Amino acid sequence: MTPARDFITIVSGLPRSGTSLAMRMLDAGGIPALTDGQRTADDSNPKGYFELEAAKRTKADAAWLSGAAGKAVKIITLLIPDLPTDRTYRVLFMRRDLREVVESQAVMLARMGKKGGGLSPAQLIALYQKQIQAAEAYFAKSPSFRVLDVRYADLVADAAPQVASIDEFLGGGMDRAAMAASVDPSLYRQRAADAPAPAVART
Amino acid sequence: MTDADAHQTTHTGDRRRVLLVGWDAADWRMIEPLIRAGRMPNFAKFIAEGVSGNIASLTPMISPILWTSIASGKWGDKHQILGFAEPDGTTGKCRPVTSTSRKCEALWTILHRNRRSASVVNWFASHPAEACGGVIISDRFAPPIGPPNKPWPVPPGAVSPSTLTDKAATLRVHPAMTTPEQIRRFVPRLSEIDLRQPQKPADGSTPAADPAGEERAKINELRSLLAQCATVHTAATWILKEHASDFVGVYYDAIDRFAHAFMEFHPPRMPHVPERHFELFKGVMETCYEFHDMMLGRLMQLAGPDTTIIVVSDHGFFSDDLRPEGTSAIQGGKPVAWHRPFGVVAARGPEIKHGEKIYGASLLDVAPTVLAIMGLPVGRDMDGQVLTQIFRSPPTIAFVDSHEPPAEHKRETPADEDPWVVQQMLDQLVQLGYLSENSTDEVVVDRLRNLGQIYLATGRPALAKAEFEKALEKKPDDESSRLGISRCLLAEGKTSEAEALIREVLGNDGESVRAHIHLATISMRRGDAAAALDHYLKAEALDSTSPGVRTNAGIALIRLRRWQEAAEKFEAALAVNADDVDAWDGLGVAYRAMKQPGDAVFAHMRAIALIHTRPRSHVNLAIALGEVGHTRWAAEALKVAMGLDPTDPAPPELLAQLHERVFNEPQIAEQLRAKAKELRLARRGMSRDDTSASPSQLDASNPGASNAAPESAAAENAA
Repeated sequence: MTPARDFITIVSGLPRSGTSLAMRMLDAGGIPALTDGQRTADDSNPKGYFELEAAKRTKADAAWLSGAAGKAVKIITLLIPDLPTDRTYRVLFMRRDLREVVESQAVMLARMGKKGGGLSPAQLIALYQKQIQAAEAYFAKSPSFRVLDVRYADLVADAAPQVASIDEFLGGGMDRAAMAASVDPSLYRQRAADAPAPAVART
Repeated sequence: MTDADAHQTTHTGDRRRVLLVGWDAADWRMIEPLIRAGRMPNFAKFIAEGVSGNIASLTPMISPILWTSIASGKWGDKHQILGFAEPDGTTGKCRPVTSTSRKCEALWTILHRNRRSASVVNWFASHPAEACGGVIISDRFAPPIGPPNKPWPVPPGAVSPSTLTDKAATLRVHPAMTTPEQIRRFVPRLSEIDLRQPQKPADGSTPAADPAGEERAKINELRSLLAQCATVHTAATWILKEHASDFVGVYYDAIDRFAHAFMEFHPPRMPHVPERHFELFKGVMETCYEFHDMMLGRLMQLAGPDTTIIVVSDHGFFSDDLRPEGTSAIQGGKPVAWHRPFGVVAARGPEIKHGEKIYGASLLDVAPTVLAIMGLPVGRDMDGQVLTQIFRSPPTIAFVDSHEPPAEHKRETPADEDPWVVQQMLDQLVQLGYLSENSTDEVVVDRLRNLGQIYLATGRPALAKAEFEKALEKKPDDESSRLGISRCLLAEGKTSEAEALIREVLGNDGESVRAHIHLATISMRRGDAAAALDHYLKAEALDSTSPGVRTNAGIALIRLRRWQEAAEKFEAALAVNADDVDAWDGLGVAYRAMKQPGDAVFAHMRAIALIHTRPRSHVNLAIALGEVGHTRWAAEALKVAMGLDPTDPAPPELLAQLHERVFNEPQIAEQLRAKAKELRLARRGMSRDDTSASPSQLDASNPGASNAAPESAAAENAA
């Protein structure tokens, strides 16, 4: 029996850290993705983005949160501090090697024919590290958040143990087989040499 | 270096000490009547024992930019503090400008590098506080957070050394600590205001109208401003008493903030102000100045007679018939339109003259002057000069190429602290589709526009155009940027392109004051003074208070050689605003043409006394001096002009004539003629019209700009 989830499931991380994969996985596993379908699949995300435009404007208008309990929504790292702390959240925080993140963004920009910000990988990595730290500090400040770090490389390399951790973290009762089946290793296209580390649950 | 190491003072008793007091927006037009009425006795004593005068502000007149220019001696393109806010790399939102965004050394870091101790209170863009051997209290320290019964933590980084944070926290004044007696000094009829907060109906129905709400809000604002000012002052006096430093800089923002809140209520009553509000709040501004005088008295007492004290403001604030229409408030108004381009400077100290006037000072001169007083060299890369005129004996001024540290020691701004880098990162996330919009865009457009204005003011139109174009990439319909580009095109001599752009921007707005002013500019550039005059007269008929219109009409009349009418226009402009530099210069040209060279000398000197750095004013003065027979002085004036604008062929040509015909020095004349020829050749290909009106004078969107920037004089050599 599917447990009632009175919390909002947040999938967070830097853009191109595996957040769309995590959303797809949760949706397959029984936690519906809160999405408006505006952003459709493309070469950068062939299986879809699972985004909600309203979530990108939470600071100005958080009304979308009222229908979010029991569902999953994608919020990138930068926008985490916009989340009000009067709700209960469980956060899957996607971790990916920042070199891979930066390279993946560059490839995506090239596909879109956009020029990007013109910054060096080192500059972007420094900025993104600060954003991650700010999100971590925000989580630590409030009991509203429980956070599970999920390493993208771990998930793609061996989905089963990660899926088990995620299911347990989110209260159990998810369709683990469907979740594991939604992971497509062929879409892990920008890789660095670092070995994956196990997922760590954090409250 | 630890906090403790950095705090080790190097102050010794025989070092020269300076106290720099910043009074944002302080204006002689408020101060002088109060001094005459005996209501500012400390400042009266100060200027009687020292020197005082106008100080020319900079373009754009935006306080964080100006106060950083005061602290560094450099224009904003060098220090890169370009507005009130900047993008924050950690949050993706905006934050107040920070010390880490400043791209050059400030007085306190220069002094610290040279083993002097420096303390600073509340300076713009001083957060986080830097370690400079003294006590630095940043501009995030004073503002209260929340009601008085809630925690009021000092923001991390607001105090250096951090070991003094707890003590510094006790110095703060919360608005709730102000008393009715204190407020009544500002608002004597306080008892007529209902200060009770109306209760919301328990049944959730619409609350009754609250006619006293606006008045109550004004009182709450006054309390907040007073409290923050008191915090700054308490911190300053604490430092002077207990942490003596070689240099102390204190920035009071209160006059400006009070002025934006209350100057519209200052007498005479402005048409939009209700009679009741005028009666309630008409005395606030004068009391604000009295309060500052009282605080200055205490600072003078604590600093002692051996400390050189400099009081400076970054701009003035219109307080009379020249006040713009509408509210002075920052929200809902046009705040910069209320800023007057001349502020206050005064100095007193052991080496300073007594009871004399300062002429031609600029904000950029403050830092070099402080360094000279303290016996330190001035950086050649600073844009200001030492105000040697204030010293009893001319100081020996040493120079260094720069006070900036070598590249290997230069403070590296982290990527997340560099506003331009942050902006680029946010742009990337928007392009990737992960942010729906860049909430910092408005602030970035503002910064780009401000940088464009700085480049224009310093004679770099190509660089200015690039910044305006970047602003338009973010905000394609930004009128200010488009008009900025038109000014760049005019500066580059591309009159037709400028005209096309102006007409496009104006659209159907062809009969407004600003339209006439812009079209007049184009006409003048084309050499059609008659058409320009027609436009100016139409603009004057529509709004005779429009800044600069009479003066520009006078310039057109000069071109048409209608000297008497020109003189009358300039005199009419000066009757309204005696600080109109272009009017004084134009009047001088008219007088000279009317065979009144002595009056011409006086008029040109008035222009130079206001803004020293306009080369053409010195040329005009030289010609007038030559006509009254003061040829050596004329030669000196031409040399000043050559120093200010080494690219202009006119001064060396005129100087050559003097050396040939008057001083009988043909060889020197020959060298100067060769120089002039070289400069003329260098200018070939540019359609620059030396006799045209300065574009910034005719920018209707920034009426205050007419006297702000040290640009070429509008009135040319008509002889």
